[in-house]
Amino acid sequence: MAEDRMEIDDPSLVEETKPEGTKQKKRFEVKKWTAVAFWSWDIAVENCAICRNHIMEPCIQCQPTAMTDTDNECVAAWGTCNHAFHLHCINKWLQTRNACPLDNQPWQFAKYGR
Amino acid sequence: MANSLPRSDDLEATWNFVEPGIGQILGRDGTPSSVLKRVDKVLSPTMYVEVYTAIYNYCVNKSSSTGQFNTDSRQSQNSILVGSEIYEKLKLYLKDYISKLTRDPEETFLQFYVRRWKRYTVGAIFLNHAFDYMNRYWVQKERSDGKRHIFDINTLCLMTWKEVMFNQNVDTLVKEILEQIRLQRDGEMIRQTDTTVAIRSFVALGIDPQDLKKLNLNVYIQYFEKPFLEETKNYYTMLSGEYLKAHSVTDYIFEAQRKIADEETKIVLYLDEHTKKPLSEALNLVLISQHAEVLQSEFIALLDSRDERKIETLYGLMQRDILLLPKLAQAYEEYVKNTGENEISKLLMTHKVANEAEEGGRKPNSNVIIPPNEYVKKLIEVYETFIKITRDCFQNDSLFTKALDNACRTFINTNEFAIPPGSPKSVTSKTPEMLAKYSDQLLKKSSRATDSTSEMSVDDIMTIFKFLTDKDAFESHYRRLFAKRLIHGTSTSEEDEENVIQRLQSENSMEYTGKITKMFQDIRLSKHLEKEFENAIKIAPDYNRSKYPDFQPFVLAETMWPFSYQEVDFKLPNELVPTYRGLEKLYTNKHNGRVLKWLWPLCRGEIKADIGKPGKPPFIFTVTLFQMAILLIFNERDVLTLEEIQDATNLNTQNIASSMIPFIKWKLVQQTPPGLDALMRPDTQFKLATPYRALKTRINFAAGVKGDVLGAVTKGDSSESQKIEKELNTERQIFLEACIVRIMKARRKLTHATLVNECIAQSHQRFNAKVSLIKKAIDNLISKEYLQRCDDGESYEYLA
Repeated sequence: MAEDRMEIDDPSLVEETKPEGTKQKKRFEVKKWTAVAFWSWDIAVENCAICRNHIMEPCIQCQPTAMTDTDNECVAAWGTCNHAFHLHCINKWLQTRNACPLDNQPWQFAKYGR
Repeated sequence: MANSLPRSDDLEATWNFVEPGIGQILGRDGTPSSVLKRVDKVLSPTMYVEVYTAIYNYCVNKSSSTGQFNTDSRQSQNSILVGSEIYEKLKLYLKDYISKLTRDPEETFLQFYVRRWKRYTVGAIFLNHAFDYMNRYWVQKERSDGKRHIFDINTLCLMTWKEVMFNQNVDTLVKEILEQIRLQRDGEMIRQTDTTVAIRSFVALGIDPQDLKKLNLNVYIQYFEKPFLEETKNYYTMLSGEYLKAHSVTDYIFEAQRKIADEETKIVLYLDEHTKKPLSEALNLVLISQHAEVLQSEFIALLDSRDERKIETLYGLMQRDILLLPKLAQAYEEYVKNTGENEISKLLMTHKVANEAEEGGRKPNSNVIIPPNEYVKKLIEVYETFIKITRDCFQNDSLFTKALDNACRTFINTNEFAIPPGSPKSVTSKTPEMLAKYSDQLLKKSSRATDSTSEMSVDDIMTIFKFLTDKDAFESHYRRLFAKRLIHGTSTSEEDEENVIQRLQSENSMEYTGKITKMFQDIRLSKHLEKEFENAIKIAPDYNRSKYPDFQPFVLAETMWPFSYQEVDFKLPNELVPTYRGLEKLYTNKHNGRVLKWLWPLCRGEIKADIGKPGKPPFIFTVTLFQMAILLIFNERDVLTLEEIQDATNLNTQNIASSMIPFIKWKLVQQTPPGLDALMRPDTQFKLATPYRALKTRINFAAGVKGDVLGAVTKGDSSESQKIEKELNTERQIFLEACIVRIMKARRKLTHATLVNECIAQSHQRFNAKVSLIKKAIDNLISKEYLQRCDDGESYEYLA
């Protein structure tokens, strides 16, 4: 995917087609298109180190109700140390100790998933 | 008259005085004519009063003359009440009276008995009143002193009748009654009152000397009921045997039903309530149970005929003996099961024959495909036939409802098509897959004739769904087809989809439809995103349609969808880059911390192709994204080599080849040199056919692409179904392990057998857990140290 983006980022290509398109009517013209993508948290690890569940899936507390409760979202959260956990998991952990469970640095939220 | 009363202390005088009155009360000189008159007309009131007074005087006088009687202490131990002499005299008189009764020459014994009994019993009641004083004091005293052979006068009359008349003649009497009944059974008219009265007399004579108030049926049962039941059995054993020799079993069923109804409405009127049940049992025995085998074998023939009236009548008979029903229900289960299996085999055969005719017998038999709607319809048809019979003929008898359920579960999941003979044991039934495809047929927009879908319904899906043992397999197939409908936008409507999901959910559980529901949500969110994006690009300063073609993004949660991400080398055509980048920017701004992974092979689009003869309207091609990328290069050039295409798109040869095949097939592109072998060579040339000639202006090239992730399942690709099966097995394994941990955590220690049973019970909503799979799950948990084997060799223990 990184490769894709690099090539797309090349502005010269985009520029090139434009004048030609205006010159003459093209044989083939895109009318519409449909694209499919999966989203995921921007994390290198797969599992939440606290509950051991896949980070894309609900945390261990949300798991039993995940299939029936459609409103409750179980998101990921990042610390400034760049470690990520389920938001529910790290919040519970922080009640005992205000440090990242992995590197023992004082914890500060960098961002939450949305 | 009072003056003529006898001296109260003179027994002989008193007796002589009352005797004529007693005679009148009982009808001593009873000629048939006088018998017919009512007693109170024969007996004058004066006479009655005199008799009463004489007896009263006698008893009172004698008692008081002993000096021991007074009204206050009549119950005292010492009081002596008088009466025994006159009691004895009356008793002798009665014996004499009854023994002298004679039959009229023209009447049968039964008629005689009934005539006399009727008169005698009325007389006995009057006599009882006449001796009322004695009844109340002397008799009661004697009985309370333990003399149980002393009775009140009415009872004395009856007891004497029993001794003198009844005991001597009971055989004749019973014989004649039974004769009458036999005549009626044979259909002749009889004097029903005689029979009724005679039989009632048996009941009336059932007197317990110990407790007069308690009527018992000893006499009735011993002398009448027993021979009556015996006679009934003999009669109907003969009758049914002969009837069956001359008539068909079906005729017999109706005959037996008639006979039983006759007995239970007419004969039963003669009898005491007590005989009702034994009579029914006797009839059941000789008319039904003794012919059970014949009837049961007829049952199958009747089911074959589908003649509901006959089946119902047979059931009506058989259900009278509850011991016969389980066997019948079992036969029913077997029958329904076989019918279902045979119907599917027949359907399979028709398609086999049609297939062979079409293909010239080239295809081996195993590949015969039955259209899902025909298959499901056939299952429904069998089910509906028998649910109707179960309802109308068996009144939804619980045994038969259960038999139907079992049979349906069997033939719906296991038949020649669902599990072809010779398949390995572990194979999953094809029915869940067929049902999922049926649902797809129903829910997919179709340009083809709608008559096939018009007969289909959600109810059908639910009916079959209830019987599926592997509900998880259905969910898996359903989800794949559902994904395809959603992404390709081919659902008939959102409401229809939601309706089915709703019903699956209420039939099974929220959890069952969890993934499907989440998929639905993803699509809604994506539609929202599409609108948001559309609005965003419209306000962009450089907005125009050619830069931003219509764009429909789907952003999905990976774990809910039935396909996985695979990295594919591909360079997005420049024409699509602005929309692509615009969306990524919008999305990452909106959702913190998320990244998108694009599934290029699933992307599609429409292309306006202005390559027809001049002046003709442009074609509209439906193409995959890869095809789109290839066609867009033809904007610059007429001829391209495979290598050039590869350079421009970064696609591998496999993807290019599969994209090209539909173009070549529909003659949009000419391949040189031709042939499948040359398709993958880098120097092969592709030339665009201009002007392009085609009958339709709308052409779908995407449908012809092989290896479409979503398409594979519908085309019955074997590797794809293997993949599904593997996935299913993994999911089941996980489910079972979770199940075992849950059970063991609660119970701490369990035997192997109990654990296995619990697992089967808990997984039954989703699939039919095989023991081998459960064992595997247990082994896994032991090696993960969740469980350990106990020393007794048959239990497991939970390790916390």
